[in-house]
Amino acid sequence: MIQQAATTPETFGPVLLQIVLAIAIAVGLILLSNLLGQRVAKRSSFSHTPYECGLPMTGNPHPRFGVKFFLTAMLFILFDIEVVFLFPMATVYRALLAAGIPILAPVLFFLAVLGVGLIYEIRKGALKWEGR
Amino acid sequence: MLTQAAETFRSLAPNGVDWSSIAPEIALGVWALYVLLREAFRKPGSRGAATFTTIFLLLFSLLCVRNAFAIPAGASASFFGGMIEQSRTTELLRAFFLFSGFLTTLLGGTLLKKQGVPQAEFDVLILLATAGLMLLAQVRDFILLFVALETMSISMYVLVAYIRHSASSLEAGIKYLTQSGLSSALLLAGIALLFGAAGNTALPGACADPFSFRELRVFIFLNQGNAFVLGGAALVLCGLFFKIAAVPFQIWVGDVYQGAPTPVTAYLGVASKAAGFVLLVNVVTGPLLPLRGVLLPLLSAVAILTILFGNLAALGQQNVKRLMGLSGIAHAGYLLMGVCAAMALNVDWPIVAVYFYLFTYLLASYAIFGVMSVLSGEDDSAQTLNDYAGLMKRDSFLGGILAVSLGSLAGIPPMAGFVAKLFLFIAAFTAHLYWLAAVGLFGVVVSIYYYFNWMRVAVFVPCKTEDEVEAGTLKAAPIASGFWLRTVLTTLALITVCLGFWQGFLAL
Repeated sequence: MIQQAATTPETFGPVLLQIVLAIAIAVGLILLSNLLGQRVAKRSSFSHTPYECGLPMTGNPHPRFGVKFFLTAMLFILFDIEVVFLFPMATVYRALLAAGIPILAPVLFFLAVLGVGLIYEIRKGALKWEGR
Repeated sequence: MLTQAAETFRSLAPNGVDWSSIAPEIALGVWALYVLLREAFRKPGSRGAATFTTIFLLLFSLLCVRNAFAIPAGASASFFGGMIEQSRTTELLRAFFLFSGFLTTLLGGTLLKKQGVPQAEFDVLILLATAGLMLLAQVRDFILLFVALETMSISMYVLVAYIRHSASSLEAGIKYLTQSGLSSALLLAGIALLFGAAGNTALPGACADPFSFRELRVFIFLNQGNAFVLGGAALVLCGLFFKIAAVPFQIWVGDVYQGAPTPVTAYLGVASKAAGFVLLVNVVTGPLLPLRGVLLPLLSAVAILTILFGNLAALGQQNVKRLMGLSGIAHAGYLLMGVCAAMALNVDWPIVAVYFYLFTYLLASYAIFGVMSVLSGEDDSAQTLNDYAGLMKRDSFLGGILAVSLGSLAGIPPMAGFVAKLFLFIAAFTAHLYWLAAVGLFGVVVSIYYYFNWMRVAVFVPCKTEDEVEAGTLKAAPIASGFWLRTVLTTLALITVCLGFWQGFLAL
């Protein structure tokens, strides 16, 4: 079906190298920071606080922030992927028609599914910036 | 140029494209879109489509059972160029997943209302996950397998974290997301290794389509010692072990089962686990069967560890959802015993035994989770064994359902669970897996302790409020549960008892 070049196990060498590199970097950085990092002389509950002078912290160290940023990012990815899918279909549209493969209806169905999602989002007020 | 491209596409287009073969899955997807649109345009205060969704799933499930018996036994048909294979078994599995979807939406209706969480999105996700599971029952191709598995998984990530105001639900969600993500990565790496090896024209029997189960089986038969084949097979099995919560991959079970909303826990414990087993059976008796010599000891060892871990960990458990999760690990161990026997004997009847066990497990589990969702109180927090104290006195109906279902899970004779366990043990003995069967028997004996401990609490331990009731200061509150929920729970318990007496329809 799809013609592949003859491969031997050796052709996967770069993949193995990448796996080894990924593990080495992850493990190596943790090890290095343990070896070279600052030593805490005596472990106590204050060792992990930002200010070790004993001042009690005020407020939550992990402040909450609006999720609108995530929403925008997610919507962007969704519609970005939509375009990514549409583009190859547009380039081979004539060839598919010549091969007798119906293409317009599946593409429109794909768009309709995404459209339903968009309508749902708008109606649920996910795109309202104020007054939430 | 154009004619050349057209020629390529014609050769690429899968043979036997017949959309009607996956009409139930398409219908579920379209219904999910409809529910979503209806929710978007719903006026505040008006009812959603939840009731219809529940009825829809039940009707579809019954339709699939009827279809299954219209197909002659042993016949099978391939669609989409061999990506999908349909037979009576796959049709019954479709019905199985639809039925568990129906029960989940029914329990969801009970619990989500109590917690004040919207139900439409819950139903949509259950519908989509069920469609994915139904496809999983029929796949004979690794690409479609992965896509269907992810359809299910991604819906489950959201469902586990569905109660957004509950920290434990969110914690369960993030734990499930990270660990399930890792298992998907392992599975994908395994598929890639098998693809890479089988597409290699330098090796004997290189496949034209290295994702197809049928072609891979021939290739693996010819290249049994190949490191890529062995590594790929191992990684694929790792991904599936996560789904069935077999031992090296069972760490997520406790926290996720406890934190997820009760109906989702039931869905995770029954449907997701069943899907894992369907895939495991199809993979180890399909493409990986030539590796039997290596895989049989491996799977047996995993089964032994799983049975021991599940039962011993469940012994001291006080939280009922964790108890169901950990004992579910043990049940996965018994089921693995059946899978080992199917692989060793290379016949079909242990597989039928595995599916029958899964069905009895569905009946008993959903009945218990149904009782749980009624008892769990406003915020789904009453989950300790103590909350079941005096249940028999407070509500003998729920107590009776619990007794039948726990008896079935423990494998006590008149219930279906006993017969199902018996089949698996017979399978293990026939395949000469004596050690496995011995450990299994030990596990069953241990499991009787913790299942009956639960019953002991429900029957003999006096209820907390009982003294106050007798003093007249507090009325014994009747436990509220809907008429339909009670009807369905009764039906589940009745089927459990009936299947214990009559299993003649099984072609063992």
